[in-house]
Amino acid sequence: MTRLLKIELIKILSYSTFWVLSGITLGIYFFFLLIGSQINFNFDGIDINVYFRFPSVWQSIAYYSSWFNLLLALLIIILIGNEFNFRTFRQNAIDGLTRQELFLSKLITIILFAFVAFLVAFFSALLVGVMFTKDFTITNIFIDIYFIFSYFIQAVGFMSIALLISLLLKNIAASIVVFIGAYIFELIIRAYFAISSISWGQYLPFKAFSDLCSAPSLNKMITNPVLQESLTNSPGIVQTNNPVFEISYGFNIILALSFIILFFYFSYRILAKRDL
Amino acid sequence: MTLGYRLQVLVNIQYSIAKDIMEVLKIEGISKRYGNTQAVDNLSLKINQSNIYGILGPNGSGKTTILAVILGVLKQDSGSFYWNNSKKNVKAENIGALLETPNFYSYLSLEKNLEIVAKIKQLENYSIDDVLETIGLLDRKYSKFYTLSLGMKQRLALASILLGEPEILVLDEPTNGLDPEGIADVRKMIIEEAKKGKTVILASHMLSEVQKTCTHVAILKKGKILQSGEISSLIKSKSIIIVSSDDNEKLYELMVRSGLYDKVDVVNNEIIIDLKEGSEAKDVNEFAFKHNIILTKFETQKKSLESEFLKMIK
Repeated sequence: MTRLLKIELIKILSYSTFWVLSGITLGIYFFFLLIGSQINFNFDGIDINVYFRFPSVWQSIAYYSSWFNLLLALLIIILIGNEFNFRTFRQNAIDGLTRQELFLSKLITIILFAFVAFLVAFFSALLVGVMFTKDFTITNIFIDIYFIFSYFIQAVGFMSIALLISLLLKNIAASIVVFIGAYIFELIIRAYFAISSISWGQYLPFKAFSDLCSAPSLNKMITNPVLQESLTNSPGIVQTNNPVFEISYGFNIILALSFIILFFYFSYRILAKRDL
Repeated sequence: MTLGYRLQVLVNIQYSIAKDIMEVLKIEGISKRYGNTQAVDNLSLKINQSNIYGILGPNGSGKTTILAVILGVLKQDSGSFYWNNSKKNVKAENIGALLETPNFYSYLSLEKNLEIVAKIKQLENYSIDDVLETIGLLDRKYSKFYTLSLGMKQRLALASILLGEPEILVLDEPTNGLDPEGIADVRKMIIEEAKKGKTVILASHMLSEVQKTCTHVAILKKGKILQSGEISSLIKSKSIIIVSSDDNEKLYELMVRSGLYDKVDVVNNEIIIDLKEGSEAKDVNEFAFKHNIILTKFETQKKSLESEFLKMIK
């Protein structure tokens, strides 16, 4: 495993596209985080800063970070596309990597990227939380921390789809188009299901992954009890902002993990059975 | 059990052990199809240790495909291959191979590319500087792979496959892109590696290269082996005789009518004769003498692999 990690690190750390994409991603990430945390929208009955305080900050940052999963998926597509472009999957196999090892090396890359993204989200949330929370207890800090762990699963999930698509198509441009196309296609299917009152839309892969880090409820920023009650009684708003709880959170995790296992399994089968 | 029977059993065991040691690769009935094209068709072959085995064939004859199958990067439709008498249908571990083009990460330096190869091969004692110096690319150590010329890329590929001293070398068109000096170096390298007891499998369409380098050859056409065996036996006893006489016209007619020769031609007032398998040059002399024709010129020329190859693939 260490050998495969070292090999992947040589490939990734010397790749200028990786640094450019990572730099842009982190730049945008911290820029908007900084802008967001500077907004002091606090007037009678509404306090937007609640999203930056413990424990809500975990969900806010996890949700915010989830927008950057597309870039993680893009990186995976580019790195795997390169292996086909340069025919290095083939050469690595000739030089001595088994097909299992080829698959494992990509799995390690995905876990590594997800872990780094998780660390960025974790420390951002911790920092923002400490900056905005005046009185906090240990319980208060950690009560919603699971959202950040869910973000890790979500990032792995998005990259598992990217892995499968890029192994299937062997081409960077086509894989990016299909990845984005699949996301849009799922949105359309879900919209159609919603109109037809069919609940299957909840069980589609992008939705299952997205729901792991849903947007924080609007209720949280309303400090005025009268306003809060009227908002709670408005079913449209509440449902839109709490999609994660339409199916239980635990079931959502199991569903997302099942999709991840399935996508990794199919990716492995493709790599093991197909010509390189 | 008689002594004779025991001795026979012992001889059989020894023969079996010797056979096991010698056989490096056994290919049994491999077929591979791409869409409607049958790239390799029920191909069988055995390659022994220390052979320099040439695989010859025109473009599209299945040379690269069969090598890719035995290297485990293409999946055969049917058939099996066994490296070093292994029962498994997988690539052996101690192989250094170059398939078609040199395949490296174009954005990485030569140093980083070789580092990856060394890590894949799990080498501990190796010096990238030594390797680069051997191939004359030490000054390009930090250059990106894409900045190299085709010849340099080919040299780097050859150097990388020799990392870790593999027992078996599989080379597909190894002299592609090399200048005459580079070609000579590769030929020398192949012969030197074979002298160390290594087995070399070399696919090429450069017939002179194969003839100068290989001990054995298999000639492929449309995925099938037309002929295989030792090069010397393939072109042995197949000589061309060039003769002139005081009566070329009569000699030519007699020879054609006799049916003793594969082919008889008249070129520039000389008769060129292709001998049949098993017949010898002196038979031509005797034939002329028997018919009272005096030969004024008698020259024997060994057939080249090229002429045999071209005849076979027609």
